[in-house]
Amino acid sequence: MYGTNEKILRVNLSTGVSTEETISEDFYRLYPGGKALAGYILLNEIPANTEPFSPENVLVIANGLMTGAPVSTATRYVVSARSPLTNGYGESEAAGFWGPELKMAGFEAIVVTGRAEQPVYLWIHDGQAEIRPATHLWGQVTAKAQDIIRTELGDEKIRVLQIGIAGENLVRFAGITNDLRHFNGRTGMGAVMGSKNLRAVAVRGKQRYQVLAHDPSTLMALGSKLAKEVRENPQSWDLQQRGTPGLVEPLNVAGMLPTRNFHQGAFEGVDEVKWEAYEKQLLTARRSCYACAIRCKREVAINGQVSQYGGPEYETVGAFGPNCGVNDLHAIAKANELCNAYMLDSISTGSTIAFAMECFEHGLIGLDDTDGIDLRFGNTEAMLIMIERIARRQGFGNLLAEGSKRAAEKIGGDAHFFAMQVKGQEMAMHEPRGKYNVGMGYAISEIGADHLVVTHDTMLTNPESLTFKSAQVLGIRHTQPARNLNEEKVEQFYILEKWNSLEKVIGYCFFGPAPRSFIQPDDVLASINAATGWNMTLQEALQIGERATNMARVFNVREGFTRKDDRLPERMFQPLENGALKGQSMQHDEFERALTRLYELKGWDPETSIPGRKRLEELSLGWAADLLERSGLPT
Amino acid sequence: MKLHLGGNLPFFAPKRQKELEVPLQEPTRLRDVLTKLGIPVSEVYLTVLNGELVTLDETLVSDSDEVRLYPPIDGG
Repeated sequence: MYGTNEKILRVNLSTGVSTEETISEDFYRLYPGGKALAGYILLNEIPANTEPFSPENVLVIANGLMTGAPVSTATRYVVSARSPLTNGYGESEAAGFWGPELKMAGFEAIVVTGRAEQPVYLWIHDGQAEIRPATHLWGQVTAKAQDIIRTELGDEKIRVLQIGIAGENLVRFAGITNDLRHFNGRTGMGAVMGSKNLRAVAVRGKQRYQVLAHDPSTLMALGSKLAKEVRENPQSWDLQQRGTPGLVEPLNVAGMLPTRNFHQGAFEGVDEVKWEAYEKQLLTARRSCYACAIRCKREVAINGQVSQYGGPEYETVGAFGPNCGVNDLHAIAKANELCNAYMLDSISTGSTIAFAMECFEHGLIGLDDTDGIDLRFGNTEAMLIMIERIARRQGFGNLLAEGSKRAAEKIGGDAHFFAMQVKGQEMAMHEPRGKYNVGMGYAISEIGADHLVVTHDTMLTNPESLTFKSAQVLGIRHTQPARNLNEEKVEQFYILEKWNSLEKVIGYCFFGPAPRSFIQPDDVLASINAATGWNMTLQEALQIGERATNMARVFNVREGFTRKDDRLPERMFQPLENGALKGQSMQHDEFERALTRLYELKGWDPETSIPGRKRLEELSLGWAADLLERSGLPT
Repeated sequence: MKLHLGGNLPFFAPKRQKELEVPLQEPTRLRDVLTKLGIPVSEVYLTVLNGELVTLDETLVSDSDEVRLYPPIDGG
């Protein structure tokens, strides 16, 4: 089989035994890496009702089909397990260099089972795997741990994926980092690693991708063409110029910059946190991921000191800035640094602190609860202290380390109203009241609120725009208003979700393929076919995306999730307080009608959201329908 | 007229600049100003004229006006 190593590494930490598993081409064409491979393994190997922190939970780290190819944005790998944050299907993708390095080291994926008696890390190099002691790494910040690993293995070029203190302490939204500046932030995968006493996975490989590819010269030529096109497309050009922090000001003008826990849509301190201020106050350099010509990553100095952890992305600026009422960029960059040193998801951390701030301002909690911390919006010192305490599970931080949903249940009263979460996972910094399909994506996503489920509504409102023209190739026929969930808009959602899900399977970054960015769908398919020798059509590609989503859904319904879990925080149905969308809200009846229609398109039961056998069989997932029926869930 | 180009819109400006001074002899349709500069109206999502959000369609601008334009924004 071209384009892959055909090998998965299996590591049982309870027994200390590692084995290799060979994957066949027939299997891989259905489940070609990333989200699809992880979904297959999770569904088949994690028994229903497995406690997320138990040794029986299975952690999958899987490259996408294209990860490591010499094509811009083909860098991503997924980490997946049952989530301790949502109790459902957990998943988070990261870019950087680690995934490509794993490919060069000879593996497509790593499946970790069991639990080590003592802290360990994995050392994988050129087809070999070794479990090594990590007691000396436990309790260290991520930069220090990475230094120790590289020094003791004697190679500065080793790529280190690791958790931090937050993962060790089982913070439910602990993440995973590689190279200190790329993150599997979401759904608490770092806590699952921590529960297995697995601190890090270090990799080094010397294989060249070209020896794996079916048609390396075509793939190289395509990679060169796309590297040039990065500068010829406004979306990728802008990502190169400003990176994601460039989103702050336009979203504020649009009234869609989440402010003070989504209470408002515009921030009076935006000039202090927008890109021009970031560039002036923080920026020191631009960086890239493996083989990517965009270079959207930012390096920063905080109060004159160059950070080892990279600069905050838009989500982090939003979560610790406007959403906490903070207009101090150095404090925001410090919050980013703390999250990365302790390895917390910056979205959930910022959002959970914003939740606590609103509870504090409404008197649901007081100084007695917060260990004397004046947890008001805009208090930067309080915000930074809370990050520390969450990571170390100290005092009030121990409650917030459970995430906003569980914390709200404990606080009681109206606290649940202030928890901006879906299925237990906090919403990213995108305002559903201005982008209804983004709201639908938050609601329906199997991992809880996820902002990368579909192309955002506002990109597809002008029929002459470059993004809309790209989307037409996927089957999007007409433009639709951003604030609408009519029948055709729901059909758009159904198509776009499949396409975005495919990206998570094949390892392309969200900033690669059109319509979000510059790689046209034909070139995505051409890259797959040059790598594998397959003749993949758009229809097959979209089916792969839909298959992956359905496996995640089957996983969730087996764990008891139903339609009632595909919901949005009630605040989304109440008017925004300020900004361009002042007074605007989503409508319950429109949302429910759209959800029913979406289930119909997906072939899911409108009451339970259980995927129907017919659709599952069309997706070659008859085995998943059998699995549901064995669990007493008729399809 | 002072023109600020937000988001990716400088990509379309003659020298990819974020700010432009556009001399106007008389009130002119903003749409025509942008077309002359080579900035596609189809890529503009929000128009702010002298601090007020307006629709671009028939907006007239004069030499003393300040206009800020922004494209649609996706996730990140």
